[in-house]
Amino acid sequence: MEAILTIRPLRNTERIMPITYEPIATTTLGSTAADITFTGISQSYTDLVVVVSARSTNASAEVAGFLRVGNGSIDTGSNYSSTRLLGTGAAASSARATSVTRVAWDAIPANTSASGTFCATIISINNYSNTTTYKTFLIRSNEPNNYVEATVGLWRNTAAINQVRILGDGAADLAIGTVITLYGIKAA
Amino acid sequence: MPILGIIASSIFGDVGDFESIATVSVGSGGVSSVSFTSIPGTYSHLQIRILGKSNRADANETIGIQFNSDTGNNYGSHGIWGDGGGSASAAQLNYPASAITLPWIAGDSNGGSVFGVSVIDILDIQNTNKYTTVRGLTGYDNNGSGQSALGSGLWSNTAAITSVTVKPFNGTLWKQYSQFALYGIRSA
Repeated sequence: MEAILTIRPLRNTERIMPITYEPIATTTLGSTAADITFTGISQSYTDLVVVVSARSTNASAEVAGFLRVGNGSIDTGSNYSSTRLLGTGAAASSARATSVTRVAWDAIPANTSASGTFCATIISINNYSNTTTYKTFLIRSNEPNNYVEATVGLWRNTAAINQVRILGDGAADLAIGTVITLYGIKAA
Repeated sequence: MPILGIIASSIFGDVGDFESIATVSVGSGGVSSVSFTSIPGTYSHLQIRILGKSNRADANETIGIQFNSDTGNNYGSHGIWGDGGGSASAAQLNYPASAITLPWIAGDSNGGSVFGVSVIDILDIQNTNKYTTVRGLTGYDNNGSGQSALGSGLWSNTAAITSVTVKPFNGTLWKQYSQFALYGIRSA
């Protein structure tokens, strides 16, 4: 069986189409913070996208960024895993994390990085509201000093996601100027 | 009588530039492919967002993409990916082939709740002076195994895109609970 969809845009039916790619919430840090959490996320979207522009207070080196999610509360259990593809400018490599408490990506610039350098990270959470599949994340991140990365993360839970948390390394906070925006994408 | 604005009427919002065109959720029994036909000529770019899994008896499945019902060997692809095992791999894939082949979404040997995800961009689809180029970020994770992959594809044809077919390149079905959402992006 093949699914064939002939498209008849709402635009052509004299109705005005809704906005599809909507900003849900934005947090801009005016002071350092260990994490940023979005709660009460509507289930009316098809996918979520988290756009992260972050910097760490860590003084010595860049640190990993982390993602946690949940339903009703953030899951801090060992229910996450990831597969990573990483380039440093000198070599490409791949790494795995199994049964961990959060999904990591490389990286967030250190406080000693050149002024104004922040990571550029986009996280896609496709079909976040379904209650049948585990939730899989696509993370594309650039750390301007050292890394380009594509990470696939898994949350081993079939619950719908209504909370998302972005964390810095536990030893350091997210720095002032960090901006994180949550978007929702609607489907026809 | 007060005249309600579009937003105030709570029915439809403003027209956006990133619009949901169509979405297919795969039901019981699966489907051999998903085709979006009669794509309006009003969009400059397309994005396909996938939560998917095929019936291939393997951990990996390749996403096959065809345009305008062209099943000839007019497509080429490249990819770079990592399976978490330390090294990264890169290759030209299936050239010439009957479809663009983007690595790697989930095959059927993954656990029942594990699905892969992909975000695929198809650029400048109305331009009749260029071959069509595609990029994809795709992967899955299964808590100890998985793939994270970047792929690119070429359709050696200058025609404007009016239809897109997405199929498992190795398996024969997209499994139940897979979801395919097509979005159109306008130019100014």
